Amino acid sequence: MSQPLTKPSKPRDRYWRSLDELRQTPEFEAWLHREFPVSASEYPAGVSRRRWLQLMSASIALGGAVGCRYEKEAIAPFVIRPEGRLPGEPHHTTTNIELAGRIYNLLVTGRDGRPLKVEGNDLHPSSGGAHDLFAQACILGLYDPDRKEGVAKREGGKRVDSSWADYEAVAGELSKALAANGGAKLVILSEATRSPSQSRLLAELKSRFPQSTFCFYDATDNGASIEAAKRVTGQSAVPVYELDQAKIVFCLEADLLTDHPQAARQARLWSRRRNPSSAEEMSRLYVAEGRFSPTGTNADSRLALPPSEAPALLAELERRVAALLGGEQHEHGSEEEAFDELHAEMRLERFVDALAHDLVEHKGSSAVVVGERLGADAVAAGLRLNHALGNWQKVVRFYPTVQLPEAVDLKSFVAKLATGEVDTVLVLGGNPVATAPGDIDLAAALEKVPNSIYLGEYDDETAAHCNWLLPLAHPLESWGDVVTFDGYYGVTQPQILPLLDGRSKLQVLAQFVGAPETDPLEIVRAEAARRLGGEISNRKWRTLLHDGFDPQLATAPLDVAFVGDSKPLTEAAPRGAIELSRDAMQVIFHPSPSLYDGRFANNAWLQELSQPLTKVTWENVAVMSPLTAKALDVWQNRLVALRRGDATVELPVYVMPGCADGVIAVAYGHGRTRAGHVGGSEELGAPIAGVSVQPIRLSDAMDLHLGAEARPRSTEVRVSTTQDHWAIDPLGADETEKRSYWMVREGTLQLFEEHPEFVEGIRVEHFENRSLWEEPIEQIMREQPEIPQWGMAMDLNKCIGCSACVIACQSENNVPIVGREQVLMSREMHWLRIDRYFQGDEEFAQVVHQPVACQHCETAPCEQVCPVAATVHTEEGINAMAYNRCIGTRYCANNCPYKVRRFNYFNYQEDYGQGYGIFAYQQNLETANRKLQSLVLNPDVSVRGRGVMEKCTFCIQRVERGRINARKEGGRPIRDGEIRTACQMACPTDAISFGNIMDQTSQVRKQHDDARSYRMLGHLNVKPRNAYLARVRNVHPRLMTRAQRDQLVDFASGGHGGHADGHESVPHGEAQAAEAGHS
Amino acid sequence: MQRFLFPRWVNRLVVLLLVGAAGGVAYASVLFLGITDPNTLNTGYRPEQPVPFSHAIHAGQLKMDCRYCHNTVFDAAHAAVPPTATCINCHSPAQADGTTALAAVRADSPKLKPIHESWETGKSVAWTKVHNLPDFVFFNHAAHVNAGVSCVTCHGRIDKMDVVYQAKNLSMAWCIDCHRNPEPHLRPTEFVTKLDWQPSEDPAVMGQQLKQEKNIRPQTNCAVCHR
Repeated sequence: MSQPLTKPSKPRDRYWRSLDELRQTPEFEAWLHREFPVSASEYPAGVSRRRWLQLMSASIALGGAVGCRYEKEAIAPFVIRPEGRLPGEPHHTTTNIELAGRIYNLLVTGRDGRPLKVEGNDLHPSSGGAHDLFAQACILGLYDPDRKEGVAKREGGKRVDSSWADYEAVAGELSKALAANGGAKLVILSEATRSPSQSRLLAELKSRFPQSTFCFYDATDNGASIEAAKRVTGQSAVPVYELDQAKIVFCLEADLLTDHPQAARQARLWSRRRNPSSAEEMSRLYVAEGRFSPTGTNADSRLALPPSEAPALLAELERRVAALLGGEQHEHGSEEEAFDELHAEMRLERFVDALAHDLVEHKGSSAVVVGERLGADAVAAGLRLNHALGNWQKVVRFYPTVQLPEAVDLKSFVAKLATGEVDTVLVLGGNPVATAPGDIDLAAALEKVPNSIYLGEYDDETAAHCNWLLPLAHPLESWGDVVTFDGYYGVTQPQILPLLDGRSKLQVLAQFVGAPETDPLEIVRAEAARRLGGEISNRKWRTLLHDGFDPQLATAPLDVAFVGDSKPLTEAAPRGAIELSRDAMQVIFHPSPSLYDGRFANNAWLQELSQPLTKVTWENVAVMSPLTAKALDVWQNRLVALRRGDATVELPVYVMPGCADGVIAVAYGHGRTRAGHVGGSEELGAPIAGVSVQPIRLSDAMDLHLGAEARPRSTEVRVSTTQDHWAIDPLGADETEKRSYWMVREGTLQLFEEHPEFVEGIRVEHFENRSLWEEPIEQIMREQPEIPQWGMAMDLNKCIGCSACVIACQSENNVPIVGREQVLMSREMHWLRIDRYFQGDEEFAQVVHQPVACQHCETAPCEQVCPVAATVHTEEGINAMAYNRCIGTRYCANNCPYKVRRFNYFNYQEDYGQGYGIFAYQQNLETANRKLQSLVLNPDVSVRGRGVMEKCTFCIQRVERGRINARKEGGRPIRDGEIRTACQMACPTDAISFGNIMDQTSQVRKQHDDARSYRMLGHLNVKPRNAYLARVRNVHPRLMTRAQRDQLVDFASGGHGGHADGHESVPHGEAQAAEAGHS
Repeated sequence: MQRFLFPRWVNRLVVLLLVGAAGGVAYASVLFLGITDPNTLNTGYRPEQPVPFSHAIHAGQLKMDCRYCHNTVFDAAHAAVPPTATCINCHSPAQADGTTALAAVRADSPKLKPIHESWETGKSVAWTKVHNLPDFVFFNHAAHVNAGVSCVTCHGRIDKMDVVYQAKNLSMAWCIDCHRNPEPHLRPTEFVTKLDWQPSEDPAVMGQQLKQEKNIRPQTNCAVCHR
């Protein structure tokens, strides 16, 4: 020993209390520095190894003894706590955001100042809070570490960090220089917007730079609706459909309920008329489309129609409606064949005729919706038909659009860039390089411009070609405003200050324009004041922010008159089926149901979502009918090459019965090359998810291309779907068919009206469900009826398969993402899944969606087999999980007949900082490479690690919160509707209800007692607390399928469902019937 | 070939070793169980705090109600440690020119230096958590105090503690004991923060009455705390 040790100034035992203190804390560091002048991490000079070892071992020995306490936690309160803030308690703030072309009226739940969960604003008069999966998932995008942090610019070919101050200086100079010649060298490329403040600033931009060129590019919106509305009304208007006023709805190539800017509101309104038990007449939905869309699955009658024939069908329909309105009458014949037994031409004929009759019979309360895909002419014809039927102002209303400066289309825009006369381009969001059509080389055009400025959230495809990359603030962290499609003005209120130094479009525009006011809060407040006649008091402003809307800030529908022409859309007659030719495939391009136009590619929740109908995750597929596949010589999972001109894309084939023959549907938005760690990035080495179809999606056919070439490829790939597509032998198929009523029960409205007991009657087995013993929960229900018993009901009539509930559950319960490889092994972790069942055959199929979550069985098979009692039943009927007890036997998942239990095969939460062993400590959150993302976790719910089983808990954290709130108010009983699960709140159609089944007046009790209610696999006597309400289709008698007719006959003849000797009482399912269940 | 034979004394040695090992295991387990018993580990835990705040003076002598500082206890899951501003209400520091407010209590005391520093720099005071439950336990104060469980039931006579120590072991068994039999621990809500309150009538009877009145039904299933 060469140096004597000096005595430490603080008593030694203070430092040795825990091993952590030993390792990391500042006191220890300070001590070390005092003792040993060299830094603690180096081997200190001047002290012998022996002495060092003595010191360390002494500390370890002492530390070990007393280090068995939990890690010391510090409490760091505010210095000044904001008034009214309750640390750790949730707070709610409204906001109205514009996202993915839709307007959402939201109420965001936050905790300790950070937003955690998105809900709808129930009190909002426009949508009642209806929203969809994009709104639910956007919270993950807020905490995405791949977002661009801080301003960057390109200097000498390399990306260099910069700052807003730098940019503002440069922009100020540019602005002045450009103004000199009226902005002739300035072009602006932006997404369309419904924000009045943005519109005002853009107008100011135009007035400051009158020679500048604007382009509003939207990958998904071809402007057909607005164009058509202009033609028929003479005004700049947008059509809005009040579907709760419509008894007949006809969608022609329009996915009204999920793929439409007003989808959520439309779904809500439509669902109000889907209750067959209510007094009001149930509506009838007709759909004619090429692909199988979620709207098509909800149709009461659906016609698979190649989109090339859609205009002809519409023209034919117009003719017939006009004839019927004029008093024409005709015979229909005996019509002995059922709808699905007809061949294509006859089917089309009967469909159009029945539809025409229905529309005329219910004129004034019907809606004809023509999809934008068919072009402005067709949409205008649809609006014209609505007018002829007297639907205007009752069902179809027109509201003013939000004005934008005059603009050119993308092609002209790029042409202008190519001239070399442009000096500055300002790109405001939208990632146009990734979403531009294949024949427009926007990237190269941008490269030519000396000053290219991109305001975007990510360092994406567009950012790669621009000089300035400005971080765009997420809608949840921006001030702004929007007007809903039906005229309600609302403020976008930030839930948190910009996390990554982002700024909103309002700020950037205001600064560029040199506006006197650049604070977005003030800009928006000024707009609100303007709309209220000049000023807005503090009280009114705060009320507007608190409520999310103000009735005085609503616009009335426009007073319109029909000024369109009466020229028929086309003289051609519609054909029921087209000739199948591999050189003339009709390709429908539709936005990805999970990624939209690709902007959500880095959102892990959306990537891993099982897309409605195909149930594909992480990629896109080419969907076609079995006949088409055969004609192309491909089959499921084989690659097919689609070619247009010189460009070819290869996609895996997905065979789906019910698609029109000769039609291939592909989703765009996948296959991005610079999305981020999740979505794929060549630069970062992250695998690309899916295939980009932009090469064959050219500007003249962005949504529909007739005449694509398709060729088979010899490669077979595995497609990561969550509901498998097995081929099954005929005997298996038969047996499955017979038992399909265990899962899904369906009937027609006529059947329900004549035989309301048909749902129970469908059962074939005759035994009575009896138990040998009574479960404790049953005793509790009997002896203590005052204890609330939680139950849920899911209405299959209303579920549209949009999957908002799946994302909501993931958001609320910290459900992890597993990645594509694990999905291939059936290890996806979604607590709530949506099964879809095909009924029919290869040629004619109908679909039912069934959301499945833990059924919370009273006689739970999982509870009985857990060796360590990790899953127990609460006194209130919830099947609960104690994650810490679980040892990972997986017997419970094995025993569950519904296969709703999910096992953490790996530590899927590792990226959030949940670790094991030496990684289990708080400070290791620093090493988690997605530290920002861990802010999205809900602190009310445990984060599960490896080896633990998890499943739906009926949002027990919300149930507890409801109980505690009732306790705070003196122990009052819990009111119905006070506790709502995440899935229930997210559902736009109110398909899910949850509550106390012991309360006879509760919504869920009424649904449990409804004639349509049944239990899935009820004969197993597990007594699930989830009831399903059978699907009832309001199908026109002339359009009933053979199975539907047979059902009527069966029940009319007094038989119930028939006996188990093969007599068909339930709709067919055949070789292509999708199987439920997970292994 | 010769078999390998151990010398005879090895037999006894082996027996002794086994007995020793068994004894060692027994000793180690008793030691382990003893050390990790919540009563050993947790009861009496008295960490040193950055500021020598004395509850005995403030809550005891001065009779300040618990809620003056821990004001969120009836509304929130956490009975939050007060922000520095609450302390500054009485203990405001000297201003730049050296003057102190008339009502400032002991403005120049060295014990208040960390509080004054926090107030001036805007950095939180780092208190050490005394009653630290593991992360997988979700405890809610509001549910308990609104039901009539007093602070003293779980935290002991805080108003007599100069430095706060953990008075009860707060183990799961201890919690479940009360959940199974809450009556002895219930009192009218208005007396929840009165730590020296004694019931006027038989606590069992009063507890039973309160339980009926307020619909108190503490659950004992796993999910009520471990969700």
